[in-house]
Amino acid sequence: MDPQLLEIFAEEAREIIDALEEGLLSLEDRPDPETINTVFRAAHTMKGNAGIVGFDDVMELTHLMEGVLDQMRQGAREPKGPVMGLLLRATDQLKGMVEARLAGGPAAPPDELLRELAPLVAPEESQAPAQEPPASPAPGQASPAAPPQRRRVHLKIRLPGDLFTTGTDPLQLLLELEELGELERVVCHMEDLPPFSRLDPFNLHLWWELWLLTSHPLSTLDNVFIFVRDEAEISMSEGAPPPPAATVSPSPLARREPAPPARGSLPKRPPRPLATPAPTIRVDTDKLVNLVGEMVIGLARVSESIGENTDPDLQSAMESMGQISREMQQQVMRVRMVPVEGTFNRFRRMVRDLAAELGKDIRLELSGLKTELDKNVAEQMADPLKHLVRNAAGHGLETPAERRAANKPAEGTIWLRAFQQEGRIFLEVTDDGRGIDSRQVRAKAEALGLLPPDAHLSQEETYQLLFHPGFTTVREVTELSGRGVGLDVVRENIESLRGSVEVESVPGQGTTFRLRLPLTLAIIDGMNVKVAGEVFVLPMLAIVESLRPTPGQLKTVEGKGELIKLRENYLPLVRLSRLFGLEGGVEDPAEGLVMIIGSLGKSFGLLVDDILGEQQAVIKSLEQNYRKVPGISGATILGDGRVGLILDIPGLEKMALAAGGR
Amino acid sequence: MAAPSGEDKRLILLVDDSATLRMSVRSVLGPAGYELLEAADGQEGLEALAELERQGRSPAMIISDVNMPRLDGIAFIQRVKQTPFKFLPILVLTTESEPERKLAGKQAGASGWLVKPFQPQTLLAVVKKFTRSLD
Repeated sequence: MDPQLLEIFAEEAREIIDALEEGLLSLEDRPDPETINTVFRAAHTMKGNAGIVGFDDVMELTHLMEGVLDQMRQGAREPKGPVMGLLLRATDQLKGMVEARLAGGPAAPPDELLRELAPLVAPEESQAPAQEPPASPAPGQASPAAPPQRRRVHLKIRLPGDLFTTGTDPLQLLLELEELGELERVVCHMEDLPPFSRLDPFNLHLWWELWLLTSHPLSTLDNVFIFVRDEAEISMSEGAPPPPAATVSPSPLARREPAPPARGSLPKRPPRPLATPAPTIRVDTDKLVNLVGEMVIGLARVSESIGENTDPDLQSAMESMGQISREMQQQVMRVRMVPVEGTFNRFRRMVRDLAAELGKDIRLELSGLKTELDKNVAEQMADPLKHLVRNAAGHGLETPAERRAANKPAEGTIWLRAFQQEGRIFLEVTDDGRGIDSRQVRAKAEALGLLPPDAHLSQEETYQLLFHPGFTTVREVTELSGRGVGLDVVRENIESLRGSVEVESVPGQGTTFRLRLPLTLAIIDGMNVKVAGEVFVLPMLAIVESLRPTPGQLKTVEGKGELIKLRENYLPLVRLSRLFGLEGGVEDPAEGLVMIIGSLGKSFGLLVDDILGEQQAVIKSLEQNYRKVPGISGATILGDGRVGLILDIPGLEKMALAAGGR
Repeated sequence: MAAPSGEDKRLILLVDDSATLRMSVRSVLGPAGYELLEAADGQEGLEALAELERQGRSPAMIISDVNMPRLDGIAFIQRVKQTPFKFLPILVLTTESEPERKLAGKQAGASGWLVKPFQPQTLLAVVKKFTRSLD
């Protein structure tokens, strides 16, 4: 941020806050429209300025203040009584927030105030469209005799390609439409989107179809587009119902993840329910998934037996079957997706009880509630999350007295967040407590004999010690690091779902446990590799690249085992054949292939004999059918009917680490 | 009254009551070679235009806020349209986005509507387009 801009902002903010305070006090004595206007404008300018410097929390508070003051300006609310006290408190809070932000720290979120202010403004914001005042019709148009009824308007919106150069944001326009009623459906058309290589990011290639339930006249809807009207193609028709959901392609707007609000955007209203709820159908999705799995296996076998047959008809029929099967899988998987909301909401009560039990003030913040994950994953995550939240409340957060002594608000906060990224689901449990003291973790690990005294560990590796089963045998680690109770169980749970756990912590500021989970449990995209005549399946997501090493790239280091040089870095080289005790495979790495595997920011090379190709692997549990095998996360049926074992990346890494030192 | 002849392609009249906003616009347009004449409300904006007229100069465009003390943005635009500067493009830069407000702006004679907070490159693109100084 430009320091000069901040300086001006600071100076102006102080002036505005003084004006607000003075205006509010004088209003209590003598309500006069000019003062109301001045005070309103002060809040308005403050909101705009906060937006410019990116102080979103300040913006949120001033937005609500502005809303209340606007009601006074319109004569809908009298400037007296408790609301004036509330506005004065908000002004004090504002002062504190601005100073805190200017000092570089985070502002104390004024949640209680927001909760008190929001309902005052809310009725206006979430007003049922039927009660909205009819917008003033454009001059020259006959004024409707009665307020128009709410009805459905179907809009097709094609905006000029160079829209961005006129300062118009298409999303802004769609959001403005949403203000005028209830968006029943949004379809984003991407047919015109050029291939990536020819994509001009400065041009708009999308167009939209919307179904809006509104009581506003078409002229008001039209006014949203007033500054692009001349070059845009916008058609509006009344009455046509949207097509059934199944035929509608998912649109980026309609399916947007509930990301944190973009800089400057106003607080989001809760999404409104669809106008007509679809009837519920109960389906046994586990069975459906199994059937789809069997179909995938069947197809792989057909494909295998067709083999090199070059009959073009057969090949193209096979190809289209493959596509249909893939699409079907996706649809079935989507049916199984549930929002994380249900899982998260259970924690409200738990945290409340924990706070009472522990004598701490704890606030729980949930975000990403609409993030979807496989229902089985959601179910299996409940316990690990419970563990982590209990840990955060019990050990992460300090007592109110300790917090005050550390210059922190007495109330501690625990955040539960969910989001989707890079084909994975992330769940985070964060607290703003004391953080993990890595020196103490280390000392304890050494005392327990888990670690040689001179071992060199990164921060992340030190935190991983917390998950060591040995660590948890010590039941009272509270005075040590405040962590360690049952974390090994948490990690085991996560890894059984092919996920992983990361820890981040800043002493005095708090700790985050981040769980990464696969989107789905049943089918993965796999790469089949051959080692000593056996076929193994590597999850595609884990593979960074593959290469045939030259002798110069290989090196053996005493105590570290074999390394492979990849560009500037040496990575550990793991021989699958040795790990699993297989004989008859490639011995000289230069004759085989090295798959570079990326996991948790650490990479290693995996030596295999050959790559056989990609295949979708339907995961069958080994534990249920046989027993748990280290380094293997499951089995699958290969195209030729044989069983292939699916490699477990975190497991392999652990095995390699254990073997590497020798 | 003759239209001022000395149109300065790089001169922009900026009317906004927020010093922070004016500073942020200046920090975007200044380095791009634009000169900004600043006014804190519609009234000051009109006075600035009158002064330019006396000097026989003219800006290339006007950027104006809506909600301002003394003379608000909509009224300011309406007044500009009664001066020799009526052909200047006027960009409204505001936090407001209600269709009624936009309609009022359009009817008063605004040529564009940009919602705050703005992206620097967006503002620059719009200004280049409006001042026809696309390099």
